[in-house]
Amino acid sequence: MNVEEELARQLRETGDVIAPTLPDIERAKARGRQRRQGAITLAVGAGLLATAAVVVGPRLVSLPNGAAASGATTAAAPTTPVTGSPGTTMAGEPSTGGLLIASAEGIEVRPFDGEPALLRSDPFYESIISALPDGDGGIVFQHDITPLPWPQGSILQVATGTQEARVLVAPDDHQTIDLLDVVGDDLFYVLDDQVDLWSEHRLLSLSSGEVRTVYAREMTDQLAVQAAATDGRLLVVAVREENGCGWLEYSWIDETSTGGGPYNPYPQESCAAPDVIDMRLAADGSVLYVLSGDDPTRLEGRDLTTGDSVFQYDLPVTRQLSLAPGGTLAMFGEDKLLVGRLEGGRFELRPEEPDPTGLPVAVAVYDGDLTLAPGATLGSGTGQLPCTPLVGAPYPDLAALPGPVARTATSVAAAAAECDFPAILELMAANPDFSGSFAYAGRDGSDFFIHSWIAESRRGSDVLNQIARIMTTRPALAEDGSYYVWPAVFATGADVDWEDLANVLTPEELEVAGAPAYLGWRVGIARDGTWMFAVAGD
Amino acid sequence: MEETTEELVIDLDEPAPPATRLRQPAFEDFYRIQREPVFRALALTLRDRELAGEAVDEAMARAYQHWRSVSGYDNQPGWAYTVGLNWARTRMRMRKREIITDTVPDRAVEIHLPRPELDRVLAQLDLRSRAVVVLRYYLDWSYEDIAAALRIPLGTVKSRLHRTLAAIKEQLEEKP
Repeated sequence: MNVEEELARQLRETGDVIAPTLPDIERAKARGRQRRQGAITLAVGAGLLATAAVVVGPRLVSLPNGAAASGATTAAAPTTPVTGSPGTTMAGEPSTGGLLIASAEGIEVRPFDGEPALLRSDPFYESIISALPDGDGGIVFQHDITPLPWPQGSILQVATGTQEARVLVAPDDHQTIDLLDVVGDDLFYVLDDQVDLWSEHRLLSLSSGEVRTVYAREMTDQLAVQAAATDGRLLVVAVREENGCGWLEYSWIDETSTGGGPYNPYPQESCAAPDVIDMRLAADGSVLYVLSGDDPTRLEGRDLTTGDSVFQYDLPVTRQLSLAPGGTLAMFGEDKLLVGRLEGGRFELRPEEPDPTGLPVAVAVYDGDLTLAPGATLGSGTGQLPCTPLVGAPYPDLAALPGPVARTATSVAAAAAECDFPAILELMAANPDFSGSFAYAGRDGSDFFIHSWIAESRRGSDVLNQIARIMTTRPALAEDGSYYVWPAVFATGADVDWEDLANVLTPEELEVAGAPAYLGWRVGIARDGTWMFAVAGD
Repeated sequence: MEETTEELVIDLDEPAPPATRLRQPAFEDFYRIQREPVFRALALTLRDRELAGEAVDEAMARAYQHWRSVSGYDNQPGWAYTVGLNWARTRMRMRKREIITDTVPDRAVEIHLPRPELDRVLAQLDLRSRAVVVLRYYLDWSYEDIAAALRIPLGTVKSRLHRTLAAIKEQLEEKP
């Protein structure tokens, strides 16, 4: 055996038996969303963050147990601060303000001195990926799947005293938008154009509607903007190359303020910036708070006048940072919430923060009060779902099928043709073993499937319409005789069944379906009428 | 949007689970198909199962973060592998491990080849060279795919492989 063959054989023998680690796609998505979101909040207000050397308290903090949603968090307790002198006690709990927690259930508004409330969106559009105070008693936010008729990815606002949400910014089809921050009257967001490959940090004046680009960069796969922070005057952007070189870039928002600028602790030539997870800038721009590292995650304050590190604090795995002008600081790590205070030269975590409702994605601190109208909603209220009804389609004669099969087939076909997602969900839920999509790390079930179908339909693939059309073709009995499948070609591969299918699918859909073996959407119903699956692919 | 590139989909020995593949390239498809081979390739490259697990999770989170861009790449697993490798290198630096040879401390999670001579040669390679070897001889990628994934010239791929094979031959000849 030659050397190359031997090397390949040994690598395969070794690699193929490496025990796999546990896949957890929901955790990967949550981390991706948090990174995508970048900087979150620097709520408006007159108060300024204490800028004297901030000293951390040494007290070990007991953390709440994590929510069971991801099930994979092994966050360690915080370590003793690495710098600073001993603190005493927390300098008073915040008397006003609270947290906005974006989750799969909506937005939990958790006042520091009151009862929490959950703001909900429309059915099937509940999941919120970011939420911020708008500085005037309202909130701005983004859905995971944006309710129709709003464009996917829109930034929305429920303004003070109002019930209904409205679109502030909407991306074009080939663009994505990430909500970044609200400072004073200005909303900051990142707009990425996936076709022309550019990325811009923009500012929207909430009062005048004026939009201005404050930072721009070409998109490449070798360089990423990791996070950004602003005090309304300066935008600080953390940039990192795939080779590990990282630095901070400054962009003045006030175009009259140029030159000099504050001290940059990580200029490009240093290549020494840590792997930034998130950043915040103090309301007066004097201190930059940087969250970096993995486990432990480090929170570091950098004086931008001197460049000195004013404090460092090691935390459990933490993915996102939020800071209000009054000094309240909230962090979100995996499935834990950490809330602390920067005040009077001290930084201290609250001893315990109750677990959020649902699967949390992001947290933001608000100062003062939110003044939303009773009954405020995050949805459009139109009830529109991404589906085109199939009208007047001829259905095959199902009399030859067993009665239970025919009844279920009729129900599925009718619900799909009418775009009746609730009815589809109900039919799915009747079989706990129904298969409608992938199942990852325990995340399956009818709710998961229906949301994945809606998300897919929002991306342009009209799932229910395709299923409805498939159901107009002839079914066949599966090879083992246990279930009937639509379309028949999946089981038979016969030319006549391909021709039958060609009457209901477009040439493009047929091509994707993968002739000669059909791998497009197919529906399976057991002899007893149990709806077993509606899947596509291999 | 383009379909997921078929020629770079790595076929595992185990049968694919019952699954849906939707028309557009979906992150779920990518995750299901590519996470495991990327993890194994990283484990062989890093010689550390635990670090590879963290690296592939980080790469997958970044893939989701940038999915609209990543889904259009020709070599998505190559991108994920490279991101995971770079993240792991940064992590190793942060841990203040030996970076000259990228040696990983001897731990239970360390990965070894069964044949000591080969294992010794691989252990002595720097991470970039080991990456070339793993992509070529474990994932069976072409020189061109390796060069594109690691963003190095084609000639560098060939020279690294040449040097590695020469070193292995030397080791085998030295064996009594």
